Amino acid sequence: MSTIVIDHLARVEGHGGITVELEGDAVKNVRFDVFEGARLLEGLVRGRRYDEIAPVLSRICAICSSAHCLTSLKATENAFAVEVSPQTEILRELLLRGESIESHALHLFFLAVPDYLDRPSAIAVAAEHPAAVMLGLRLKKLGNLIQETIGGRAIHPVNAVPGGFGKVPGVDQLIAVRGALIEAMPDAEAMLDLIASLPAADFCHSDTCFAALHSPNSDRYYAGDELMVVSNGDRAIVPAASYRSLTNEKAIPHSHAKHSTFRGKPFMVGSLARLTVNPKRLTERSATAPERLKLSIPSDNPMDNNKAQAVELVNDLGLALDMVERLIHDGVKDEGCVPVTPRAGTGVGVTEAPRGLLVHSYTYDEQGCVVSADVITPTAMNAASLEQHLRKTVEQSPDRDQAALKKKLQMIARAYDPCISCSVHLIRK
Amino acid sequence: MKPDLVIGLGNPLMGDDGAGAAAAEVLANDRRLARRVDLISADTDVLSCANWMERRRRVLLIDAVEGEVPGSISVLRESPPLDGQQHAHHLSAPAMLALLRQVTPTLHDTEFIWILVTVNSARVGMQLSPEVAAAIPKLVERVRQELRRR
Repeated sequence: MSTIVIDHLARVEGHGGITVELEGDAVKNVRFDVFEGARLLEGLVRGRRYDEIAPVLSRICAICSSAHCLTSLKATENAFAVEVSPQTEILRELLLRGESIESHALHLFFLAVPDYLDRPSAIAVAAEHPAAVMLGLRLKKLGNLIQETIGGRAIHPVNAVPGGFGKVPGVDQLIAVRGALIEAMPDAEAMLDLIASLPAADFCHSDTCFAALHSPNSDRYYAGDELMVVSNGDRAIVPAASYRSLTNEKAIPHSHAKHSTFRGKPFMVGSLARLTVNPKRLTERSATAPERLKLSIPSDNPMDNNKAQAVELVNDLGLALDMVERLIHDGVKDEGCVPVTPRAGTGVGVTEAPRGLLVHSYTYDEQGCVVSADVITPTAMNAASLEQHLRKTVEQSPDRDQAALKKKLQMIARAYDPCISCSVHLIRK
Repeated sequence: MKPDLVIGLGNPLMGDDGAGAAAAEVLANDRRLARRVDLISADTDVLSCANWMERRRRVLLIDAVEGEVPGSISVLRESPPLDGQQHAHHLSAPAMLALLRQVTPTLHDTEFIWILVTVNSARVGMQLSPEVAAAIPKLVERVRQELRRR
């Protein structure tokens, strides 16, 4: 028996790896391992007051901090039956769109593109293609600017609080964001040209089940209380409150991240899933982007998640501009927050983080202190599907050259855009 | 030229990984210092500081580094070595800085100084280990010394 091992996929906070066991030419076992020690993140908020939860849990990940903050607020407001204003909904949607722009730019330009160009890192790409790296940095900066304007900080937003926004952006700030978005439109075109020019990554095909927040007629990251699962043309709706029927986590021996399945099938979340579940979410401006990238939906190639991110990036820029123009036109009112009255009960918040569905659920006591918490990240949900695609990659490879296989396996893992640190989700005590 | 910039790095939810952020917080509470130096906490995302870094003579980065003796402090005037790995989700802090310097001409003349505290674990929790917590005043003083150096 031979074994292919890829030790590190993550940075210092935690590390994950891939192990493939072969018996002759046959694949005996494929594992996506998460070695990281116990994170027990939910334990950090047990006993804390409701208004302390989002600031703590937004720190789970610097790249997804707005998503963790807003999903946390959504769960808390759900527990206390707080209905936020339409203005708050728009500002939160815009905040998540800024995060998605930032995250997709980071992933595409600095993690995925080096793979396609067969370069060891973004630094190596920068030496040969500095303009491409500058393009990625400009788009990432724009995402940071949106988050800083709406959330008060580029990472770990402070303005979003239970019941609304403690501080809303001024018109001058929104005008500056509008200017930056208009300036970025040619960058969006250049980004599409770059992604379209990359070599094809066509080495893994598999029927895939997809899950995303259901938003049939619009493009949403924040609003919505229904999840939809699409599998071979069949569509199933799961109310947010019943998220456990979707996540249905199962502890497995080789990973600290539990595996999720829906009706026994692994499912994929993220950009490709969002485009599959909500085919009408693209605006007129971005409608031609899939064709330019030769992206057909539904796709059976997980590498297409990279193309789907590029499509979303263009869509996000256009929609962010629309939202900012609407806010400038209507004016942003300093309306204060909806009063929050704590009560005993459980609340669930589900949003679309850049890399897919994110669930927070809290049970509170009468004083508004957390009794128990549940945080399920997109990477935890993706773990079983990723393992399935790693297996297919090996099975469908015509040869068993270790270096070539390793590269393909790493590309598949990166296409999922995993956040291995925050995927760790231990059994609650 | 803008004032010197101090960036605290690390995730405060990950125990000793948050040592840089903890030191930056102590420095931010010093109002006299805050009048002549800009201070930010960047968590684990150096790229998000790109705008902040421009037109500075000096940028000081406070971060945790894995090693044998927790709490020991070192100063590097060159970037720490790159780990050479292509990660799944993020670039390391030295890799992010190297990338920014490579493609941003306005950063070429900026002096970058790493002030590092050694940690030997980064486990979940909002507390620093006793060794690293005890080193925070020394770490802060080392940053002040660097800022006094002209």
